[in-house]
Amino acid sequence: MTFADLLVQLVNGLAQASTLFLLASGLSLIFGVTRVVNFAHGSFTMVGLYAAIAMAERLGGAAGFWLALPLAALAVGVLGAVAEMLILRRVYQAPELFQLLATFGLVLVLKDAALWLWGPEDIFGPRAPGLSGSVELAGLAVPAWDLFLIALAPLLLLALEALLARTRWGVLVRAATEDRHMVGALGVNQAWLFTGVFALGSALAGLAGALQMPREPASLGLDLVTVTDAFVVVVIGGLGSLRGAFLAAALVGVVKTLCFALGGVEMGGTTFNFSKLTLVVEFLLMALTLVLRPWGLAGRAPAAAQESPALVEWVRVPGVRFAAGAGAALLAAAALPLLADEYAVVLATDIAVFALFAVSLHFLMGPGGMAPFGHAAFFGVGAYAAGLLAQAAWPMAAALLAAPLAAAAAGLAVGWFCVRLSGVYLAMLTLAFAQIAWSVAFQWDDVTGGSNGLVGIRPAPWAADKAHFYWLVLVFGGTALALLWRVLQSPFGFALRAARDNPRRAQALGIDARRVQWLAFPAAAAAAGLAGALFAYSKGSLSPEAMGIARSVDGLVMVLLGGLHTLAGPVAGAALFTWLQDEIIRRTDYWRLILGAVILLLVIAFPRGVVGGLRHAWKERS
Amino acid sequence: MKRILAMLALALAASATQAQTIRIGEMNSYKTFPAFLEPYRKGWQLALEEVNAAGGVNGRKLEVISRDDNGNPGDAVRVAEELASREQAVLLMGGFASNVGLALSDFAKQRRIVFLAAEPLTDKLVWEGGNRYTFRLRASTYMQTAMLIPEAARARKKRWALVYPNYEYGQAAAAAFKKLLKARQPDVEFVAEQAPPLGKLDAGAVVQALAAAKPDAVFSALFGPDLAKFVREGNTRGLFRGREVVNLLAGEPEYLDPLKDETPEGWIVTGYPWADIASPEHRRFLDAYRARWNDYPRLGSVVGYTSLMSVAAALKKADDTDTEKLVAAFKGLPVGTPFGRITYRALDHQSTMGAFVGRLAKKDGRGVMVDWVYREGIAYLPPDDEVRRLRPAD
Amino acid sequence: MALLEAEQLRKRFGGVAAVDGVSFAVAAGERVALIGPNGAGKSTCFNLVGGQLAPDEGHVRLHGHEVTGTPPRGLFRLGVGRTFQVAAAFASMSVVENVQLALLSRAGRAFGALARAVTAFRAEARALLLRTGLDALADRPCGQLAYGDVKRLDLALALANQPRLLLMDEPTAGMAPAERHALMALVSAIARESGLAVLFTEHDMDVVFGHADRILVLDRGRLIAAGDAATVRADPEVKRLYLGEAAEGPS
Repeated sequence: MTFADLLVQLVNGLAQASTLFLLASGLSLIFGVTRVVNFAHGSFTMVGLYAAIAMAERLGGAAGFWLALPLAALAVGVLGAVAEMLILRRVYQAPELFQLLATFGLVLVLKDAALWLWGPEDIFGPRAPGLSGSVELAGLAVPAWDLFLIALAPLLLLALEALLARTRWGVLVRAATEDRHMVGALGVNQAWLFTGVFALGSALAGLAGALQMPREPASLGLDLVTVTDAFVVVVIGGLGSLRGAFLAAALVGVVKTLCFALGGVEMGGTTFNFSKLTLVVEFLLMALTLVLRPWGLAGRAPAAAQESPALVEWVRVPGVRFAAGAGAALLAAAALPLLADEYAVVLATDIAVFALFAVSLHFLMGPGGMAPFGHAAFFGVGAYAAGLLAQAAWPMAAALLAAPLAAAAAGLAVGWFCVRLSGVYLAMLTLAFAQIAWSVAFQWDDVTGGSNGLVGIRPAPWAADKAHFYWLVLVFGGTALALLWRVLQSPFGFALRAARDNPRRAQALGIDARRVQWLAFPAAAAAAGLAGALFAYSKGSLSPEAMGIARSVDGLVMVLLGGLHTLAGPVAGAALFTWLQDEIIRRTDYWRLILGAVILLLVIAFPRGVVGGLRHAWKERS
Repeated sequence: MKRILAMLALALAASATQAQTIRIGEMNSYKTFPAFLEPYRKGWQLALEEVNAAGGVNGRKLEVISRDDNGNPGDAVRVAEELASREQAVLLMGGFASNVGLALSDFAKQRRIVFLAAEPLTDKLVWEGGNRYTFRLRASTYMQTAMLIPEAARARKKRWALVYPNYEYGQAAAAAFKKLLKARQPDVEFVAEQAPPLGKLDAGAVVQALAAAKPDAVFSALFGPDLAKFVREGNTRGLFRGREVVNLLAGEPEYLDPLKDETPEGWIVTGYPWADIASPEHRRFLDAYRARWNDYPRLGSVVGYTSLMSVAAALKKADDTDTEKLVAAFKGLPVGTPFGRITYRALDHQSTMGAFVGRLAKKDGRGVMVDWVYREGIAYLPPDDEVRRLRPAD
Repeated sequence: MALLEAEQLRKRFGGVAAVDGVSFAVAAGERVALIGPNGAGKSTCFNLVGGQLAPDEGHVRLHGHEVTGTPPRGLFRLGVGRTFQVAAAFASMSVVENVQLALLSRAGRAFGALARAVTAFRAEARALLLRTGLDALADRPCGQLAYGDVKRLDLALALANQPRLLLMDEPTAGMAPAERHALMALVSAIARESGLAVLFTEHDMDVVFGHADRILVLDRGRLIAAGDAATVRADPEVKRLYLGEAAEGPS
């Protein structure tokens, strides 16, 4: 690699960084003010690109191209404002993270809407009139558009900072980022502030998409690809810090580019291909950053996070009535194979497996007050442990006992790092670890089967029958569930809730809050690992999706759908989500749209989750 | 209770038409890979209508129960279970991504039901991971790569750079390309290898890194949005100037059409030059497809159409819906397709469906394939001994 | 020997000396108030003693043992109880469960994962609630308590480890005047009965003069006066600096 190559690669990295910054800036603003973890941010980017191409083609010519950029951003801004007013505004009062469920519904709806509007085929936009060619730099060609992006990003940063520093609206936004209760106290119309911020953030997402017009085609997979990148950049930079996001975007962009630039490198007799590292490099960077700097590059420790007690509801310790109810439900579930057809049993097996997964996640999210976005890591470790042991001819029962242990070990390691952080930082660090684990499974062909995964994971002969296996899942899953619930009633469970409710108070009572939270990880991970192992045996095959982001997100959706502050919530959420998806998917081609709409309706109707909402309604009545 | 329900179900199923239709279970990742699979769906729907209009198979109409598998193996296996048990499908067809295809293949083996893998390209499906119940229509990664080797070798380029999406398909394509070209041209050098994540190609950096290795030629296995990004960036940066480029799949309309006037001329690709294939069987298919859908076919359309026609042929030959009879029927089954006659090999259950190899060109602002030839699949499979060694016994 | 000794404590934040060479002692059974205007450094001083902050220089001793920089949960084991300015117990638990958890922690059983917590130390917890006047509210969710009751619960929690030193940060802040004296009378009674030493910060001068045996006055990080109510009241510097303000209106 010559010096000129390196120089131009740095320019490439900065062009990539500019795109990342555009993506991240909007997300950062929205999160800073509204605390909404906006999964739909990538969808807004996707819509921005589709809209820009459609407008550029409709308007035609050079003017059409340049007009399409702001118009697309504006259109997406309006879309964001509408979504905020129709949906999110209704659920700001809900427990933390609940809004995430609404944005998940939006992702599904927007994806199918884009398919309906623009069709399945990728659409490549025009080159930028006036900037279509390349510029020579150190003897090498660099696209003029890349240089335009590199110039645009810092200008946008300055413009946004000026907006925040110089205008009254900007001052309010900054104040709300620091302390959003204060703004309400100042008599500012909080609703309109939030709507405005959401519109601006969405418009920035739309602009980020529109600016990709000369670089990449609009495609329906763009939403998920971009949203994770945006989150990674925001978190590395430090929440709420635009400069941090700028720095983080540069870091990620340049490091990624350097990985490609290095390519295959001879090391100790073997060639290591750095380009393969790009599968996970942003997550490695995020993990490293968060371990060294718990609040990102430029973020500050939340002033009051350690001080202020969590806003939680009272949870009655489940007593005999709860145990009797759970037992009755388990018995009823066990009767299913006698009443229904084979497929119902298979579906119920999936539901039971996911219910266990959701309960294990809820253990950390509810009583633990931590929200791991990468909980699928433990599911996956358990699944792969079982799969590999099955291939090594271990008996199923032994594999089902070993898998949770493997997952618990992973939980112990991941938890040790994670409990040093809090809030979204903790959430994203678990995601980083999950993605690292995923990439190992994805790449380690000799052991994990790589992207294809493992096949031929067969239950023991006595459990091969679908009904028998279902009962096996009920027994193992039920036992794990009972153990987790039992732990919640134990002194440890109380200490865990204490560490969430009021960490300072807990410390003064001699409770090592961080240690309690740490030890919650292996407990939850073991249960998730058991769910993963049961999953592997029930499917017969296994691939890295078992620990992918989608699996983690499904878990979050199940927990929130059921209700964060109820014990039965995650079970109900898992059942409802899995059943709904199964029903809708076979009735319509546009199943994502319908499923998304149903989730949005449930979000509005049950801001405490379905079980939480029903319980609340019952209490109000009686 | 169970008995009552079962009797109820039987009574419902006993209505006259139901008893006579043959139910085929079909599942695919429609929402995950819509660009390929929407035309695929139209393809099998057309075939279904044709078969039934001609009186069905041995007097019985066909019925396809189609499902979206949500693009992941776990859900796909559940959907397969639903099709097999609740919907009483006599066999399964479909699949797009290799991991889903392998999971379904394993399901077929476990449940002893025939599975026709329509699209998954992984070699493992019929070789290392092959089983008695799985058959595959499309030419595999290995076969399609092998089809490109004669042209690649003829170019007599010494320094090759490779770029491929970082998962099994890309890795297998790159490995096969290196092995086969080295065998043909021992002095070949592979000077750079870039494996970006699928769907997340950082085009500028990759193009630059490839150029920095000063290759004489480039082999690419990119497709979809990655391919489009690669092409535009490579055009702008002059990567392709004076270099031979070989790109798997880039001639498939699904991936070629979005390139429009950006289409890189002269690339050697596999694909589907639908407008120029003059054979009567293709002409008939093309006319029927256009009449039915008011659109031109993509390669997915041919895959969907041929999959269903293969299933119909197997059912006809077996004259039964019993799995073992279907397996026997599929082995060595000849099927007439828009690409001519193909056979499902008894040896490894791979069909001999080939692919078109040609060069890309621009015509009226669109990409087309020129100087193409049809390469029969059978000519690009490894020797039978090698296949036997790879494939586990049934 | 004094129960608690603070010797030459110093703590700087940036360039500012928040606590600048403060020394004092508290004897068993003694109630000592730490007062001073806003920014005088009393919170910092309090947190240095309570283990929330570690001093840059100086020593904290308990029974003559060095405990400088020991975190709060370590001090808990050494017999230090503490209440908070903004009292908040564990909102997801009932009143009695709060106290049970504190008792479990004292017994070193907070990490037990299989025993049932609701049955542990129930009688002892009820006794503690009785002592702090919360017995009738034992099964109430703690989130539904009136603020004064939360303050009492905070006290009950602090007493759960049978401490020999009680640290109270603004014990009556946010309470109605009548409640304030009731709470402090309770604290005084407990201190008398069990020889408990109490160190508290307080804004309300009525509470300070009514319930402190000795008063320490801080200004700009330094101890400017110490002594009983009369001594402090008479101190000219205190008058000028502190009581002058308070005399102009209710605090």
